[in-house]
Order: sequence, then structure tokens, then C-alpha cells
Amino acid sequence: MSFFIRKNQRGAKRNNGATVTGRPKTYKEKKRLAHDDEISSHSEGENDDSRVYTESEEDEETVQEKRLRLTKEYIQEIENQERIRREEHDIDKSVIAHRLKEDLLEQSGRLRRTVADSYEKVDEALIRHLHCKDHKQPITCLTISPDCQSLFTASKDCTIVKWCLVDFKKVAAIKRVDKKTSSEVKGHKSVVQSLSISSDGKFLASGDLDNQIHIWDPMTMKWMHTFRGHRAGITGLVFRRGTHTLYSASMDRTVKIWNLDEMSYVETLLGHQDAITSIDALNKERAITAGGRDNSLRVWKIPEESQLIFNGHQGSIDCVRLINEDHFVSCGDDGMLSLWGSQKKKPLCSVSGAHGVDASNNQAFWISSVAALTNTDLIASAGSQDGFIRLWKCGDNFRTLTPLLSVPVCGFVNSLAFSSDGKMLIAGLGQEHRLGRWWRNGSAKNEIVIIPLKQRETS
Amino acid sequence: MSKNWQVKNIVEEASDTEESEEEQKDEESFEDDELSGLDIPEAKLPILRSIVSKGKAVANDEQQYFQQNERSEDADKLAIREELSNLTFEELQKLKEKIGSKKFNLTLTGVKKKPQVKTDFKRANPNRPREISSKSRRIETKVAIQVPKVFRSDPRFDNLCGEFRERSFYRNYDFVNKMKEDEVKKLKEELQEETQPRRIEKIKYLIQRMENQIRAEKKRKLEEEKQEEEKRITIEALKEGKSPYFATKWARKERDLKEKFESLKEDGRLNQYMAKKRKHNAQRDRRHMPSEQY
Repeated sequence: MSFFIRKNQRGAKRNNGATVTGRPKTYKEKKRLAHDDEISSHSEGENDDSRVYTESEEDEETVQEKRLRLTKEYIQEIENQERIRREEHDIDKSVIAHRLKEDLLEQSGRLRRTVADSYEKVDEALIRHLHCKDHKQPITCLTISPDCQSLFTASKDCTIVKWCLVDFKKVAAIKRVDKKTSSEVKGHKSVVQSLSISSDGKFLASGDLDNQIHIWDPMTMKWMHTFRGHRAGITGLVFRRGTHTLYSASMDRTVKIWNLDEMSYVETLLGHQDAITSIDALNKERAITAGGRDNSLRVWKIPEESQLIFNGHQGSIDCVRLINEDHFVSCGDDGMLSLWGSQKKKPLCSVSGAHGVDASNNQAFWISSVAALTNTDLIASAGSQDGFIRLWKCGDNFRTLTPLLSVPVCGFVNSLAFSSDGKMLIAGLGQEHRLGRWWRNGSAKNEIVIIPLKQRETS
Repeated sequence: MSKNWQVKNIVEEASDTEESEEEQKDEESFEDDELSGLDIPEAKLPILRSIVSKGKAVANDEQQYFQQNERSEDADKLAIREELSNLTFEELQKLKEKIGSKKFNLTLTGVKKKPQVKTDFKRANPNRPREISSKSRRIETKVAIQVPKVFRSDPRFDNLCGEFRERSFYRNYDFVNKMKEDEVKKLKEELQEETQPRRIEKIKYLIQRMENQIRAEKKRKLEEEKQEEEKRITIEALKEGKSPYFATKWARKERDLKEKFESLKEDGRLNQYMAKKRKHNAQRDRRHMPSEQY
């Protein structure tokens, strides 16, 4: 009854939208409607919904109106942001359009930004070194929180430390736990080899060589849950962006998927023929893993329960990172740095001896870690022994790799990460490689190095 | 790394071979049964357990059995759900944790076999990455680093080694005896300088052994010479047209004795030798004599 009484919008809608008798709209009518409304009502069905909706609560707006309102708010927000950025009173409409386009591309995973060329040479005086008593042994892995406010690092003495990236100080630490400590105090019993934080900053996951995955709350650093299910040490952890799904890779050659909303185990993915060394994921329900000495990189399509196999490298593949949804970069202990595309089973571009060659035995220096700035063409790679972190630019269509900058560092770079805004590159250093003691650099320190990256101002 | 040790592309191989008998099932098997290690008492889930154990045996020939068991699948599902309804909440949680929430939800909701799972992965062109299922629980026996298997063969039974000819063997490896003689000399020198008792024992043992071997070798050579002598006689006789010479055992013995006597005479030990011999023979004869017991 109520909808007869409604005036204005409802009445207008009635004229445009539903016909009185309720007969199905003709094609012409539908076309007309589509033209008239800004946000077109595509069928009678929707109006039916809104009718039902408004019957129950009279003062509520319809679905269409809600959508309209939200979009307007969104555009307003972008306008404000742009205004602040530009410090002008006038806003360029095209900038808004560009921004909207970028957001759409990012959501669908097709965003590409070429920023590598705009980076300037790093001023070495501005590089910060972070030490602490909890990290007396080499740093094994690190992860940056998505708002770039805090940094989490783990080292070979089984500790996890939280740092603040604003004042560069240690905030909290999770100490090592052994048989003597009570079961109430939670921690790791063996070397922590992997860390990951979810994209909303609600969960921090850490995996060690004792087959355990601990989940912590990053704000308070309190223990939340432990996942036991792997049969060998855990070498890689990653959260799917925008969700609370955790992918874990282990030395038992399996990838396990965990759901943190329910704190439960979901499934296992099988296929690798050697211990998995590294795992990465972006927004899609996919994960990529590097399989060590079986020379394969596998992209796991989880909903379809299949895997794509990429072949390359001659030695062990040590690290793999996704640049965007279709391209990734990998490094290995054969000294090769390879760029891959998801359409080709062999690398698109390989650089051998990327970090120099050992003069004594003519073997290329190992490349121990690699990092990529998401959705751009900037890559960083770090070897263990040539003393440099190198930044590369991915060429046209990811078919070439050109060296951009090198930053001198002392020590084995066990882990590299870009902050999401591209302003910092953080490296975890140590006197030894994170997996073993093949070499030991006595003059190096077990520390975290924060390299500020500066972009050239484009006029 | 030399070429022999290059890692092959095992990934290709893995897909080609279907089950091979070499697969050792003890090695690193994943949970044999999906429900192994589950805390729920045995009696509580009979149908589920039987299905899982059947499924394990049948995993490889999935398609065949799928067709056969199509009708009973729905009945199975109902039975499983009935069973699950009898479990306590705690046990349900445990089961869920064990098999994973994805499978658990499927059994609960009774969704039919997933239609979108495709078994035939075909790629558009051979440059694309290869696609396979991510769920096959194949027991991996292929290790990433392949060590070439060493095949050893016994030269006595190997055709490629040919037939054994004693004379040519000894002729070919005669140089070893010369090396032995040199080594004995060196060992004797070492023995003089050595102080550790264990090492001295070892060296003494070695010297003894080697000297014995040398002596045996010399003896063997003498025997060989004698045989050659006989052959020479035969050949000469044949050349002249006479009949060949065959020596009897007694003739050989006589000849040996004669040689022995002459060598002893030269050394001057003949008397000693004869005395010993007489004694020995006397002993032997006495044994044959009747005993003087009564």
C-alpha cells in the first residue's frame, strides 16, 4: 500500500520504471530507460526488489539511489585527495578520470606504471641501520605492514621484532621459546624462515623450521593461533591480498591453504618435486611457488585445482616475486635473474651473472633475494657476496632488464622488500646466508638496512 | 659441474610415466589414509572410513570406478551425512581440521562431483606453460638431483672380458712382482725408523706377506720353466720327425728331486736335509708298526 502514497522519487520512478500492469518491458522501453537514468535500471526485477525493500522500511533509499550516493561520495573523496595533492582550488576533471581508471585497473590486476626511470641515485648518508639485542644472529626474513608504519623482522635466533618506521625504533619483540619456558608463553622454537602480514594489517603469520605456523595480532603482538599440519619446515608464507587466506609453502613439497577467518585448514596443493623455497601471491586466488632444485616455478590456480609449470634456471631457484598478475621475477643460486610472463613456459628475459662472478672458481655469485614494486617496472635484487643491492628496470613488455642503480651493502642480504608506496627499500642483512653457513662475513653486521628511494620530480 | 651430472628435466618425465613398480611406497608417503591420525574412535565412522580406504586403492583408475559406482554415490553421501549427524561438535571440528574445510563443506552440503574440475588440460600452443592437476597424491620417488646408478660386473662372468689365459695374464702383470720387491725394500727401511708398536706390527705383517708372495711367484715361475722345457723337447723331437715326448709323473718327480739335491749340495745343506728326512721317515714307519702296549 505504501508505495502508492509515496510521491516524488517513487512517482517519477513509476513513470520511468515499472509499468502499471506489470507486463514485461519491451526492448525499446528498456533502451529508453537505460538512456534516461544515469545508473540504468536494467530490468523490472530490480524495481521489484526496491519495491519490496521500501515496503518494509519507508524512509530508506532504493538500491539505485544508494549506489548513486556512494559513487558521488567516492568521487568527492578523490577530488579532495587530488585537491590536497595539487594544492589548488581547481580540480582537473581529467585527473579524476585518470584516477578512476587506475583504480579500476588495479582492481582487475592490469595496472602498469612505469616509474623506474624516475628514481634518483641513493644518498648513502640517508640509509638507516637498525640493530637490536634480539637479533644477534642473521636476519632471515622481513615484512612491511601495508600502511608502511611498521616493520616486522625475524632472525636465526628464533625471535620476531616489530619496528616502527616513523621513528625507526624497536617497538616489541617475541622471544625464543624452549622446553623450559611454560606453555603459556608463545614463541618459536627454531629458526623463523618466513613472515607475512595480511593486507588489512590484522594478522601476522610466522613460520619456522619446526613445522609450526604462529598467527599473531600485529597491533599487540599477542599470539592468536598455531597451525600444525606441515611435515617439514616452512619456507614461505603469504597472504592473499584483501582476504584472510594464508598460503604456506614448506620443505615437505606441499603448499597448504589456511583460512584465518575460521582459523582452519582448507586444502593442500601437491606437485613440487623438491622443497619449496619461496611463495608469493597478489589479489587473485593464485599463488606462485619456486621449487628449488626441480627447476620449476608453479602457478597454482586454486579454484580450478590445477597448476601451471614454468621451467628455467640451472641451479636452485631461491626466490620468486610477482610484479603484477601476469609477470614475475625469480632468482637462483646459478646467479641468474629471470623475468617471466604467464603465457610462456620459459623466461622472457634472463640475466646471468647478475651479481658478478667468483674469481676463484668461475661460478656466478648466488642471488639470494629479489623484490618487486607491485604493478610497476622496478625490481631489486641482492646477491650474497658482491656487496651490492641492484635496482633494475623492466623494459618494454618485460622483455628486457636494464640495470638502474646499485646500493653498496655489507653482508648477506637475506631478504628484500619494497614499501607499498615505493619510498623505501628494506633489506635484512646477516653475516651468513639464511639457510646455512657456506660463507661467513665477519665484518658484516646482523642488521636491517632501510634505503630511502627518491623519485625525480616530474614537472 | 661436468656434463654427466646435469640435471635432467624431470618434470617432463614425471608426467609421462604412469605407475611404475619401482615406486617404493614406504618412502615419504603422505597420509596413507586421509583419516589417519584422527582422534575419533574407530566405531564411529564406519562408512566414511571404508569409503576413504576404498578411494585410496582406487585413486588411479578413477574414471572406471566412477562409472561403476555412480548410482551408489548418492547413497554413500546420504550415509555419510547420517553418520556425521551422530558425531559430537568436538569430533566434527576434529574431522574438519583433518580433511580441510573445503572437502568438509562439500560433504555437508552434498554438492555433486565438482563439474568445473577439468582433467584434460590442453594448452593453446607448446610455448605456454604446462598445466596439470594440483591434487594428485602421487608418491614422489624422483629426487631433483639424479645420481647415475653404478652397474658393477664380475669379469669372470662377463663376456666382454674374454676368456682367461693364465700365461698371458701372468706375463701381462709381471711388473707387479717387480714393484713388490721394491716395496719390500722400502718397508724394511721404514721398519727401522718406525717407533709405534701397532705400526711396527703392521709393517712386519706386510713384509712377511709380500716376501711370501714373492717366493710363491718364483716357485711358480720355476714350474712354468719346467713345463716350457718339456714343450721344447717335444717340439724339437717333432721337428726331427720323432714322436712327441710325454713325461710321466715319476719322471717329473725324479727330475725335481735331482734338482733339489744339486741345489742343496751347492748350498752345503745336504747333510742337514738328509738327517731331517730320515727322522721324518722313521716317525712315519714307526706309526705303521704295531704298538707295544701289552
